[in-house]
Amino acid sequence: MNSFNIHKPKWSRRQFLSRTGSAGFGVTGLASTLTNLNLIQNASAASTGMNMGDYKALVCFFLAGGCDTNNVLIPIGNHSGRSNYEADRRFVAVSEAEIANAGTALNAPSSIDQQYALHPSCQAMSQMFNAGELAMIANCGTLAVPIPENVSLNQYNATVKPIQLFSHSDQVNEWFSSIPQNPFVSGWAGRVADLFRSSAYADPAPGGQGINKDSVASMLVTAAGGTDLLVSPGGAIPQYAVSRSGAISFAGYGTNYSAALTDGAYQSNSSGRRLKAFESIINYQHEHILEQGYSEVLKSARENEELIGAATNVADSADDGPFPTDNYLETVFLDTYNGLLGTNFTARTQLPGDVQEMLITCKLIAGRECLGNTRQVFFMNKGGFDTHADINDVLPGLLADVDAIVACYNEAMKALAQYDSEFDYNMVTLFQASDFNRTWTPNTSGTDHAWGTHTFVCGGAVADANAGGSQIYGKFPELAVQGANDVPGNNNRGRWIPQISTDQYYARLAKWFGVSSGDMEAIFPNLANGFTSPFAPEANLDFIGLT
Amino acid sequence: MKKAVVPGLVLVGTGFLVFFLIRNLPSDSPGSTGSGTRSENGDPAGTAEEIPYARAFENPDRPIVGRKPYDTGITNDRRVQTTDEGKHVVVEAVQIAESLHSPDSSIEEDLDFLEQILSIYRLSFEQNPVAGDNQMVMEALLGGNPRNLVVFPSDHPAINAKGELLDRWGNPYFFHALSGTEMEIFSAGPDGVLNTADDVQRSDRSGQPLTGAEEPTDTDAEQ
Repeated sequence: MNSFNIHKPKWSRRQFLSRTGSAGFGVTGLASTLTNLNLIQNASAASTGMNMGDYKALVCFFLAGGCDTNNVLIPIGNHSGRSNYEADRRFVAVSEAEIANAGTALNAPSSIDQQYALHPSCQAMSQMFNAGELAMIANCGTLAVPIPENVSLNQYNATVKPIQLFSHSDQVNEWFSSIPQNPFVSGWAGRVADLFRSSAYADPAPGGQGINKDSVASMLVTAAGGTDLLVSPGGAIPQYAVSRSGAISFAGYGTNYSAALTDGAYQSNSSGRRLKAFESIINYQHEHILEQGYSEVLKSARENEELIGAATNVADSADDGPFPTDNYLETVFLDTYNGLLGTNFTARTQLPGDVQEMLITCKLIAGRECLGNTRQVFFMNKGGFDTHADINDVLPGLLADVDAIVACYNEAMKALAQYDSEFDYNMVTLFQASDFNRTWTPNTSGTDHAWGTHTFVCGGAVADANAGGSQIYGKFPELAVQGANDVPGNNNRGRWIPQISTDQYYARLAKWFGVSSGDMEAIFPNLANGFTSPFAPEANLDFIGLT
Repeated sequence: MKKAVVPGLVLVGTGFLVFFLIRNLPSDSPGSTGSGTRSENGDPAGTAEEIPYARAFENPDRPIVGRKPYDTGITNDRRVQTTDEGKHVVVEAVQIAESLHSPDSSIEEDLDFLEQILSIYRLSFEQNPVAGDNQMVMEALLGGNPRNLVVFPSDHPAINAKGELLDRWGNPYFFHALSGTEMEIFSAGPDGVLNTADDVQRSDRSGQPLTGAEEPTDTDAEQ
């Protein structure tokens, strides 16, 4: 069936060059030969006390289509917004009986006096929250400048706002760039990768080639195709796309080149001759910079298939990796998924595609030493959240998948920490993002595009910051049409104006990842526009340990 | 000798041009105040017999189809008329809106008309209205935009009390902002229920339902 791609790109030639470095895996790419980078030249020294030698990874879990998080983080019990929730959300509202049956109420932390629950489909996530392993950040979204609560219409109209609020592709780009008032240039994770090339981030400093000085592969890996999150300035750091089973091989030569190679030697058949010719061609030196760049991308992609194979083999082979049995992580995923959703899957390929995306991500984390990076960013995606219609039929299943994916990730990281002495549970943090939240008031059978959303992070570093129980970070909105957080104007449907910007949210993650305070505004320039420091107590964003 | 011939030819040419323009001026021109979007005799804009461009431009009762809406600051421009409320009405767009829901046309043509109106809006703003639903789209098309540009008549019978634009079966159109320049438009069809088989859509969705659709990934293929 033909699928509809709401993020169909329309790129200029320059954008194409920047964004399509994903074919190659090497640390230098086509676009880096075309442009000079700027972040690495301006990097300040890494912050004192930051151990840049430890491994850390960020995993972005993107919910494409705009998840209705008004039904993910739900007011219950004595929450002042519960009555409005039932009155305004009407047939979309989740009953307290359903929540009680599912057991997804959140333990009320001592610091807040309101009661919340996660959606009944999010049973594992609610348990992680109650264990301090998962935190919620309320009403976060794209902002160029702070917009106060109870803003007047005139003030609102005069405020610089993100480009094309409520449009899918623009808001996705802006969640990735975190510079929403300007056309897309680079993703924030791409900028961090660029920054980390600076010698200021070498370990031990001063070094030569930045934080990933022993890297043999890009630190930007996507399991869901090319993503703007990982676009570095000028495309200096190519992002590498992996398939659900690992490296994406060139087509036409059989699985793992079995039709063309035998024990690494070319076969005498047509496939073997064709592969030999192909590899000869990509080894040519070209005078034209674009031709040469094209060849280098192909060459690095071909070469680095072996790296991916070696990395996944660490997770798959008991002989080569830390796990006690072969395919251990796959077993963890299958057991966790079957346990939550009642399925009886016995093979990786039976798992939904997005679960497999998370699985390959976890495998690459397990095989991280093969890639030589001390910092990595991974991207994966789950679609289907554009629930304008039939939301009650669709959203529970989607959130059950999200719950299972998060649970699989969490169990895999704990298993890795158990068997790999070089790995700690707090070395990887998963953070969630989505296009936008959806309208508080429904249409006839679903909800429409809105703005400020609730998001979550999880992992050992989150647990470090939430030893006493997790929290609702940020500032939960007043759940009222025409209330303090609704977009002013004539058409009020509960589109929350974010009170936490993506910059503030990401800055905490970036700080944990190793970006120094002095470089924070190079990555998130809008932080200088009057936002409360994400590191100040009043921002209420202490959702992750910073060491 | 040559120096005298060239200015002479220019003078003669200019004389012919002035004569031609004066000869073709309409008898009831000028005098436009630039207010209102329709002729005083109630003729819908653009339905009269075909008249020369230059004459129509000068005739307040003969609005013409313009090429590009823009706020020129010139109040007697027949392509963009200024109302007493300070709204700038794009005549061409309003004419298209008045063709909406004609008994002689189809729902597919209605959707094309709406896209044409949006395209005129985009000519001025280089993007669609910043809107999350029907009401927000219509608010912008009715002049609630930074340039007070009106591309849809506020008294159109298909606009309901909530400010939503209704389709020919009396149900609100569904506007879906894919990007700043791509807007899907749906009619719920005769049954009035969105996401059913009789929906009519103007999109590249290839029949895919409006919700719950698994988006494609680039890495599905197992090599």
